[in-house]
Amino acid sequence: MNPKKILGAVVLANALVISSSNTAFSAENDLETLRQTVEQLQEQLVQVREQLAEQEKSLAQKEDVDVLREEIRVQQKAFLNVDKNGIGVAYNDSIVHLAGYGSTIFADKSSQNSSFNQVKFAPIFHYQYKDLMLLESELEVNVGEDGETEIGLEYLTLDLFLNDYMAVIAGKFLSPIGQFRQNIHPSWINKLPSAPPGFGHDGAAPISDVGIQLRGGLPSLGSVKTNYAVYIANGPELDAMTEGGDVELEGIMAEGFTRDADGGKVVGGRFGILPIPSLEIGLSGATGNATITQLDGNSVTGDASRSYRVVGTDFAWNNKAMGIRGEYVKSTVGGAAGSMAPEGAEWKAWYMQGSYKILPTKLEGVVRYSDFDSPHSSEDQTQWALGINYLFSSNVIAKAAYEFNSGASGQPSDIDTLLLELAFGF
Amino acid sequence: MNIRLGNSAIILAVTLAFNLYLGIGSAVAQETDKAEPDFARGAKLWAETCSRCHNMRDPKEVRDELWDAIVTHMRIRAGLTGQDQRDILLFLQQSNSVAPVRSGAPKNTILDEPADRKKDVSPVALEKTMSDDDLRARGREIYGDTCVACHGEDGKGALPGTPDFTDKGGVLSQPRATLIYNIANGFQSPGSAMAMPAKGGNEDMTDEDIKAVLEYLLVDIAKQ
Repeated sequence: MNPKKILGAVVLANALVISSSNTAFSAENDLETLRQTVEQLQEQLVQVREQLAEQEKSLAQKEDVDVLREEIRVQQKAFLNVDKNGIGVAYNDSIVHLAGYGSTIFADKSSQNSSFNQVKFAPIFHYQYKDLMLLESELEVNVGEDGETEIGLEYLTLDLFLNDYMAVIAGKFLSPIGQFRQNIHPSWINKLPSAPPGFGHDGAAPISDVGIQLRGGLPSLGSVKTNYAVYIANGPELDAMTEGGDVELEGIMAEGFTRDADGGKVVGGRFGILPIPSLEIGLSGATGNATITQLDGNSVTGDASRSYRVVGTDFAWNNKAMGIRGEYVKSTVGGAAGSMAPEGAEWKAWYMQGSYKILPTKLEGVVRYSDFDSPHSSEDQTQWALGINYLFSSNVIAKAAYEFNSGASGQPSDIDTLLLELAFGF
Repeated sequence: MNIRLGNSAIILAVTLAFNLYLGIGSAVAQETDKAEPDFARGAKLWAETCSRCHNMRDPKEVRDELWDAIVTHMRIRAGLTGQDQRDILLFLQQSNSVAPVRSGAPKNTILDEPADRKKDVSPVALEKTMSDDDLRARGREIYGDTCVACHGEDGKGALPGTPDFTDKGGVLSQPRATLIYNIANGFQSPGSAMAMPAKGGNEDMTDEDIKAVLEYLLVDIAKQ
């Protein structure tokens, strides 16, 4: 029962008793009885008041306990998260983490049927043991034009941390040539729905390779920071096609092979320097050998080995709501006497991209210019891409972009395209 | 140039030896030479590094051990050193917890939401225990350690969506009670990808520190 109600009832009873006593008793005995009754009631009143105070006290304590409990939780966390080296120990030695991204695109190409032409799911798995080893792997699951599901291993590496400045990366890794492939290609990061021409699959920039890599950050030189990556890998293979009775190089297949058809390894790397924290400039290159393993879509073996070289440079600059980045890459395949395609070939691509977040709205404007030069004029392409993004959050993004493409007349590279994309990075 | 396996192995070996020769360290040295991770360094690195490639992710998105795996992954991607990794991890792990907020407790601390946000805070809550100069000096120190990564040295904001403290009629024109409450409990600025964590993610920040940093903001930053 509510203590206040009890108190009210007692006071009322007290008054009634006193009132009735005045009328019912007149003698001395009556007065004595009345006095005793009042004393009893006063005692009860004191007891009720004490009970009431105790209950109010316990209510306040409960509130304090809640606050205290939360403070203890935070303090416990702060304590457990720091060992003698200040490194987290509140959790187990092994950590499993699932990241990744997914996206879907609607494309409307002038002179072609529009379609929902991309459905992509790219889970990224991280398995970490202490601060010694990280296994990371990205799958790329796509639905093809014919409805078949295509699954690819984008990369899988075992990263062994030797010290604060060096990690050994072994397995299939994203190419360290440039920035787009290794850092920008996920759909929630790329500010436009498409890759710049020449930086996608079968372009000028290598995608991935299988081998071993050393990489890390170097000690700072004052405020200047640097990072590096060097690698040895199996290298790319070449695709050739028959045209007018002659065989010509068609493209460089640089997506990571577990064989080395030419017998010579490719060595390469990238050096990045940050003269100021908001600007990174990278220089990269690789050299080695490659050979033709495909002719008109069929596997071939035994063609002559030839030189393969790629050079690249990239930069990225950020200032609050604005970001500007650019990249250039050139891949050169030398000629080879005795080969089915004796002539060499060269692929070049570059892009420059600017973006601006229109604060305080959730909108972001993007513009990108790209140029891709191939040995085959039908593949040459220049592109202006204008985009507007809506950031539901930093990792949930709706993109709308229009690509003004210019290429050989009648070729896919010449078709302007409207792209709508919904991307989610998790 | 026709580099065969033998040459490649030599190049790899020379690179590795060069790295070790520089005294960069070994796996054993890593265990003994680790410096204490630093919250302020981590905040600055996080702000400078992550936005070069992607939108900033809110530290509250994931719990501590998951940040460990993510930052390890990003060490590889972004070319960070082990110390960079530990600094950023400390910042993220300290910034993803929620500071305790009193609900029904007596309203006698500066953590409490002001009853009327339009009115200034009571003099009791702002009672100072040091001189104005000392208070601002303390505030400058805290700002440099905790706030500068996102708000910038000049207070104009280093990240998209962080407010410009020098803007006349901007956020600092609000009553002290509101500003103190926002510092103590965190705040989501319109247009910012992430909310400022309670106390800027620095759980060690005391009530006096909050008063000091606000004084520094109001006197030295806003009026510059």
